[in-house]
Amino acid sequence: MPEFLWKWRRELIFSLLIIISLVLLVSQRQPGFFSLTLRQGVAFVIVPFQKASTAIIKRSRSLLSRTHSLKKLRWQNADLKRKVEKLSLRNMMLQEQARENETLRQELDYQKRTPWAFLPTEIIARDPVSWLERVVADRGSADDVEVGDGVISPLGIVGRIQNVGLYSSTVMLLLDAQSSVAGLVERSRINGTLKGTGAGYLKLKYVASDDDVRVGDRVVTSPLSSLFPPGLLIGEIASVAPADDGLMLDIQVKPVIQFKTLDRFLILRKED
Amino acid sequence: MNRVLLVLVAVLAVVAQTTLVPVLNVAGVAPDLVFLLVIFIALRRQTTLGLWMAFGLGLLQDVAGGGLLGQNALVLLGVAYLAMYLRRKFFQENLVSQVLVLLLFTLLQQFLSFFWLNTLLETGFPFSLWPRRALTMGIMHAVLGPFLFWGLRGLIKDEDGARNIVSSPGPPSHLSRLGRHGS
Repeated sequence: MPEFLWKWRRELIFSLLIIISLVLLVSQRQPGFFSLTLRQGVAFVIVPFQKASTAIIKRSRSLLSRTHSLKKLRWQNADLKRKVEKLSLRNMMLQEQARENETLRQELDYQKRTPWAFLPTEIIARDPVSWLERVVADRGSADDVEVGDGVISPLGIVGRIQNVGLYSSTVMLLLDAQSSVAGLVERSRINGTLKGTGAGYLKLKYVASDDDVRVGDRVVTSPLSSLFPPGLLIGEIASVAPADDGLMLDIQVKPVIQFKTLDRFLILRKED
Repeated sequence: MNRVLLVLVAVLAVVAQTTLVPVLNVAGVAPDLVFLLVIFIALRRQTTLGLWMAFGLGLLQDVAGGGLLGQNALVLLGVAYLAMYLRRKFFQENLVSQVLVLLLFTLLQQFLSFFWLNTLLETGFPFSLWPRRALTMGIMHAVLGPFLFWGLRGLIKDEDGARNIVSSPGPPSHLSRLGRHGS
């Protein structure tokens, strides 16, 4: 018997490891104690190296760019000053509108809106060759991050927290083939579900063929979404065509965020 | 073979893959350093080391890159086993065979990823995505791989003494053989 095992050891080990990998992969649908502990344990070891490496890379890039970008910085500074002036004026007007809105809501006895808190976060790692669109962020359960928290940037929504370790978490980006979020066509108020395709664009699903949807329409987060505040920009409709079944529309949405160059974002938390 | 050094190189490869490679990618195309390291080990050793390293590196890459646990481990295991099984039959002492082998194994790696994700997780990736991704990555691996193998050749000595199975991308191997016989 031992001779048999020794002779076929390579095939036996190969089969055993394949079975373990398959079990781990299938268990991702409903992550259990073993897979979560394994992931957190490995992350605990590897994340400090990744944080150090990312810090070195960012420092080097900043040093390199500092040497030849003085002219660009001057131009950027002037441009930003103009923008700040414009935005300050707009902010004042919006604050006035918000106060007015709040008074009207109180008078109409509307339910109070949930306030949101933002946790600034940086991306420390991503696998550029993976089929899945996921990144690793430098915040974890030590910062009260939880699975399912929404992730946004000043431009629009980014994705949501998929796994949480002690000092890091995995973010499933909007583009991921398993991502799905409730969306709304801003102009015509048509609701749908935005699904990632893994191919650089999103699909707006469950929109009937007679609904009013046009190329160029903005798609924002729906009030039906529990992860995100309503009205945050997701993307623009790039193409509209009848689906194969003839009942629905096949709608492609170009996300507003450049995910390849994204390096920081905000984790959304509902305030108690 | 220095096992501590091997583990260190493995961890470095995963860290570089998830932090440095995304910054250095050319026109959106990036190499998979972990895949290249696994192929290198599988070609050098016929023992079970290649399988354990493929599994361990795969899991490490899954966690470090935010992927699904087991996804890379499964794919790398398949590729490593095939590389170990076929090494005597296919690997010649020249650069062309290395380039072809890296191209073919990249196609296989990408197909396995596509297949597992679509079958087990119903991700619904369109089939047209596979050749596009696999070919661009395969070309990148075929260009980078031989140089990486040459750089790593001191890490693991080839177990049956056929040192030129993973040969240098530099001088043709028949010249180096002549040199060895001459000395």
